[in-house]
Amino acid sequence: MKKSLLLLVIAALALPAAAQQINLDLPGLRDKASEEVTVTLDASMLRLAARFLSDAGDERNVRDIVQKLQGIYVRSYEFDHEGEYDRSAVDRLRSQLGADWKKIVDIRSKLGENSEIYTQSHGDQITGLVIITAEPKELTIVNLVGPIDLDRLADLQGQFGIPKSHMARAGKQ
Amino acid sequence: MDIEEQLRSALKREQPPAGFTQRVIDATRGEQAPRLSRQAWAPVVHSHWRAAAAVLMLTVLAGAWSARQIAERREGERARDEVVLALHIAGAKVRYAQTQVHEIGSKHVKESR
Repeated sequence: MKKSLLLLVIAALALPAAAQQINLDLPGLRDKASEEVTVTLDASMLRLAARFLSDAGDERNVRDIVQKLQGIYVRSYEFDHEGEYDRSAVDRLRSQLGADWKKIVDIRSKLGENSEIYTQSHGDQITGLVIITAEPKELTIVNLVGPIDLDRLADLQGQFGIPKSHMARAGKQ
Repeated sequence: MDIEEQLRSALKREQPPAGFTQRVIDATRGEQAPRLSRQAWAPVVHSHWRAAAAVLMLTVLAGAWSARQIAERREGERARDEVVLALHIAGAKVRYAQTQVHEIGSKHVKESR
């Protein structure tokens, strides 16, 4: 009885985080992309990463944001030519977002540079974020799971001291 | 019997019993240097092996711990770089959206004037 109750509690706790996470792996994109950035960090990896972030400058801000998050998932694809990827991939992403997700930003330009930001909230607190930017030669999807301060996220600037070699490596993944 | 007679009797030269010399020679040949038996050495040998095994085990444990620390550090640094990269991308996208929204907003304000 106690065991099943415990399992129920664990499932109930895991469910909100799972609901904020979407499947970003869209078949076909990877093969066509000339450059790709893939970041998949669950809660345990974020805790580990936070231990290696310093107290100085931007890294401190990053650490403060990361400590509250339960997951960071990024897929960014760059293509050599315009229209090389199927834009229906974006529809497949959107279809994963349930009714509890709100579109807070929807920018569409004549040049085909579209940006959408979706949030999932609990009270006043944003607890999930999905950013989809679709450009003719680039598709980027960001999924943050956990409490997020958008203003604080937007304040993060610069390279944060990312090693150039890593940036290049991430770009070639 | 006076004392002189007693001394003479005590110090009187006597012949050894038959075969005495041979027995002495045989005994000398058969005598070997005292050796510690295997059982006598056992505690010393065992303690050396135990010490060597302990040192080896400690070395292996220290090596494994050190390797684990190095692997964990590498993994942590890689995770940190990925976090920074991901938040850099997310931040840039949010900033871009904010800028676009502000630009569109200010255009509308100008047009309405």
